[in-house]
Amino acid sequence: MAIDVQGIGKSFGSTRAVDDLSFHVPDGVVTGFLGPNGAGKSTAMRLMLGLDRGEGATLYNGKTLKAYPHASQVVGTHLDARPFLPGRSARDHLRMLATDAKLPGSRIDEVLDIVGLAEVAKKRPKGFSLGMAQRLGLAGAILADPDALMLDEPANGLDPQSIQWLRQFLKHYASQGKAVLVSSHLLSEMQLMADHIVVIAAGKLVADGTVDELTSLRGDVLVRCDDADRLAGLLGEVPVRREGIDGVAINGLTTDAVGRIAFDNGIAVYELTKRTASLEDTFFELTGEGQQFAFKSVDSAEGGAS
Amino acid sequence: MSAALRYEWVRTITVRSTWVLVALGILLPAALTLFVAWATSDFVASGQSAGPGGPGSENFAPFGLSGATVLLLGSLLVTIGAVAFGQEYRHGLIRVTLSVLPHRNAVFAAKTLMVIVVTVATAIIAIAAIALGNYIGLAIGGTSDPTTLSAGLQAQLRALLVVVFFVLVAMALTALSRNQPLGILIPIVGAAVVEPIITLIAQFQEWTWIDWVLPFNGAIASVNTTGAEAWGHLGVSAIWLAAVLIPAWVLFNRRDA
Repeated sequence: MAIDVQGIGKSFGSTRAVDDLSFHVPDGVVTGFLGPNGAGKSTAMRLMLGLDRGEGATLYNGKTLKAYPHASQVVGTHLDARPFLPGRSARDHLRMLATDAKLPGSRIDEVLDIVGLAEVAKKRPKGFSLGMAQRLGLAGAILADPDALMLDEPANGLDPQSIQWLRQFLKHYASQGKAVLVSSHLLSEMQLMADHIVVIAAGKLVADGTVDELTSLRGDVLVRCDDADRLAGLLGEVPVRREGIDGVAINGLTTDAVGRIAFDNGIAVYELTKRTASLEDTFFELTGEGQQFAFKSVDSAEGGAS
Repeated sequence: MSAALRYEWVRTITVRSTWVLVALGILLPAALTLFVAWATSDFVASGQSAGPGGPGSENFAPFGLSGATVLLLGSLLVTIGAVAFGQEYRHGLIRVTLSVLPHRNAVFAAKTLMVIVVTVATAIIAIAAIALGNYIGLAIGGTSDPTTLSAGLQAQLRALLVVVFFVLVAMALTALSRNQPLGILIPIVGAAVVEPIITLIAQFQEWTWIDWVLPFNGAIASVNTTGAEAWGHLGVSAIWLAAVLIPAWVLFNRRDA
């Protein structure tokens, strides 16, 4: 089940929250959906599900969600931190969601067991911690064993063990040929969890590719050698910068190419390293102008206080 | 549609407040009727009137039904209508519901139908309990209800429709405003406070047409009157209901969840 997002858009008054956004969520991998606060991730997800009214279309294996007889078997969603009635027991909440696909009670118990809420199945969730609430939301999303999952910040409130479990679970889920779209602010976690990344800022698409593709775009090659100045000169128009006494950082060339140039020109190489940017570095570079509610820089904040 | 109905059924029966409201809706009006029947049994026995619309009067609805008991029953059950949409908006559950059931017309229709089913079922038992309370109250007072069966059944049917009207208005107002307290308060305050004041002013001003305009008092009047006039009042209420239900349905389809 692949998801095709085709030109979705929405405005709130004069603010363009999502602007002609198109991307593809492939099956078989986890797709991370990244963007700074106010970038339009949640609005985009709601548009994809038809919850918000806007422009464009989202196709699930070529068809709209409404074209399927049981939407819960097409895409499972978890969009809000506490999407349940505080006075209805966890099991009854899932019973309600199970009605669409006429799922048996045994499936509800199975899912509660998967997310570790079996012991509190009959308790009302008004006293649930944020982590437990997230688990119940996830249980609702996977209940009908849908072909796609759409989760908005599912790791919020989870402890490190639970985050690790979530990562493994979602990777396993995707490995069954299902599409998984996850938004998150935890970039380091997303680097571990996602194979494919979609980045938006100010409602627009700014990057779409595999994690390796995105991080290598911002990576470079570090070479330490016996004549760094001469090597830098040999590279012509290729962007380089000096690092330390004998180091040169080179953008846009592979380690093989740099090694060949050094060898051909009789330059002794002490170190040749391919350096990839972290997803966090890439994210900041991609979305630097697109943060809607930005903090003041520490310097300017201190300046204002003095 | 069947999936939406199943969803609504489980949603309705898995909330404790539904059962509390059903129990209160059945017990409180019946208890009130029993007390009033016992207290006014002398008037019924003598054929005297306890006042306009009161026990023994020409306009007094039979089998213990009165505007007051129907208003109480309606006021207790309006919450059933309001929570159909109110709980969903208040707790963000509407996004879960519409993710599972993306056809909004089916969701709106299922909610409306389930609210009607629960209200009618509760109101039938409540009206029967009111009749029983009336019988017991009068029996304790040493008399019996002089109502003929056919007159009684017509009044009971109108009472049933009035309660459904109250509950559906509450549901529609909640869906329109996405505010549960507002959906509960408007029918109750409108019927018990605002419209009686308007009616009082209208009496001084001799605005006789006012009874045919007010939504809630008109509905209550259909219990206290008989024949074409009673059904006419219900017709006016039906127009009011359409005036809030249709916009609620249209907006539910158009608005963001």
